[in-house]
Amino acid sequence: MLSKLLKYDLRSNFKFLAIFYVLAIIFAIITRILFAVNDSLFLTILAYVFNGATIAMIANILINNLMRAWVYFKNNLYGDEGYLMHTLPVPRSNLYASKFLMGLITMVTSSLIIIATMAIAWLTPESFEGLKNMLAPMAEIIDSTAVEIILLTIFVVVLEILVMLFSGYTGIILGHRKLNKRTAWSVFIGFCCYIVIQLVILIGMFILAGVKPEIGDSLFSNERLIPDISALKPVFVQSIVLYFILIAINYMLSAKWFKRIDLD
Amino acid sequence: MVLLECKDLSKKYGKKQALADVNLEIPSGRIVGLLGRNGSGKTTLIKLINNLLTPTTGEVLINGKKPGVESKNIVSYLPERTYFSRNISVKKTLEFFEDFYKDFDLKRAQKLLKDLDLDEDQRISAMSKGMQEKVQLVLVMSRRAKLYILDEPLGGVDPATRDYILDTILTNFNEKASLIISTHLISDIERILDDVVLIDKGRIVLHEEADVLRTKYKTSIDAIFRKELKNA
Repeated sequence: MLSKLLKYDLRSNFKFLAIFYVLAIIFAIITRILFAVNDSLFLTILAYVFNGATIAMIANILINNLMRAWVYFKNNLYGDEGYLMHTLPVPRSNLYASKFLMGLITMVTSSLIIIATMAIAWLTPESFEGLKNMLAPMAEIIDSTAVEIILLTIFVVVLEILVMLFSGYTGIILGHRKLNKRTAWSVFIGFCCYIVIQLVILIGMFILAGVKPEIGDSLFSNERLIPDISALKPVFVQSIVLYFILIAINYMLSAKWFKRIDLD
Repeated sequence: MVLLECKDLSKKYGKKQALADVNLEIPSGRIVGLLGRNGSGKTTLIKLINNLLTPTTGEVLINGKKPGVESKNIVSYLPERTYFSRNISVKKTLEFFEDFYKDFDLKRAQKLLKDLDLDEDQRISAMSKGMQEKVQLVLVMSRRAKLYILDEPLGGVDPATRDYILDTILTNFNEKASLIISTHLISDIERILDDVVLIDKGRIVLHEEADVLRTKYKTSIDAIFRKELKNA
């Protein structure tokens, strides 16, 4: 049953997001072509216009994915559609799991589309070499490669956005337990949940700094003018582990809270 | 055999008591009219039965079990609002029901849609509220459920269609099943009722067989409803 729920959830969301994906890719292709041709003032201006449009579309994908996921969650489970969803012969935990997976899949897909859009629009052998050269000293210190650093950074950013998304879900669940001003409560609780997760990650960093003084010096002290890059790797690793743990805890608590429901 | 049992069921919204100490038993094979004024607690009771609300106290048992996956497999519920995403076609709603309900009879649904002149390819968003309600009723009545719960099924449809809908309900529902129909349009439905449950201010004030009531009061259920609520 979870797969059936997920099928409908993904269909509803991708139907909408696909428009932005296609537009972003088209704008990226046009941008690349225009910068490649670039033989008149008009084409240069046009290239910058499409460059801006590509950037706007990338932002659009991210914002729309987040907003759409929250609105869909609210409408599908707490709006009129909730009367259908909550009377389906499926465990309530599956309803939440489906929305969680839907959020995860759409966000990862959107991230891949964004990377593809950026690559189509701006990536050239020269720019890639430039980026690699810029990151090479850092990569050498932490015994890694430039590509690994880029991928690790993207991974952390995606996890951060997922934390934002699932905090929103938690906010909607708890906000809808209130009798009045449910939307305002949802936003407030979701924001608080997000802040709590950020604080826990920060506390985790303090603890790590306590255990490894070189990280403490690098992150929380003014003694070093240039941060110790070797501290980067454990910071990345710990934050990724913490993100996973916190997303798992958030999932378990939200799924538990979601079991009690009061539809309007 | 008792199909639905409510034990000391209460629901409070903040300080407001929406339902108080409701005790109710519905056996199988009955058509029950859940009658009451607007805001009397009918929809709250129905939502509690369907696990859409969490009771403040008391419990609901369906076929002896608390509401859950098993009960949802045997309960077919028509809410008082339209619950489909507006961007899909009627055909997609049929697919949805077929995907999730093992007891959904697609052929029956297609026949009923045809009888009601409803186009399967039409989008929900292009339909009037009355048409959307008819589609929902068709879907709900096309399940071979043990308990049908219809909340205001006649509210949005024209009087000419009401009789057809009532006939649809009667001809499409299994004799061993039970049906709870909530409405304030009593005169329209009283001909099909076996039992009457009258609810007022969150309490059940009357629960009796329809024929017994008619014999006792020598008048229609509609008249009894008006009289009882006037005295309440």
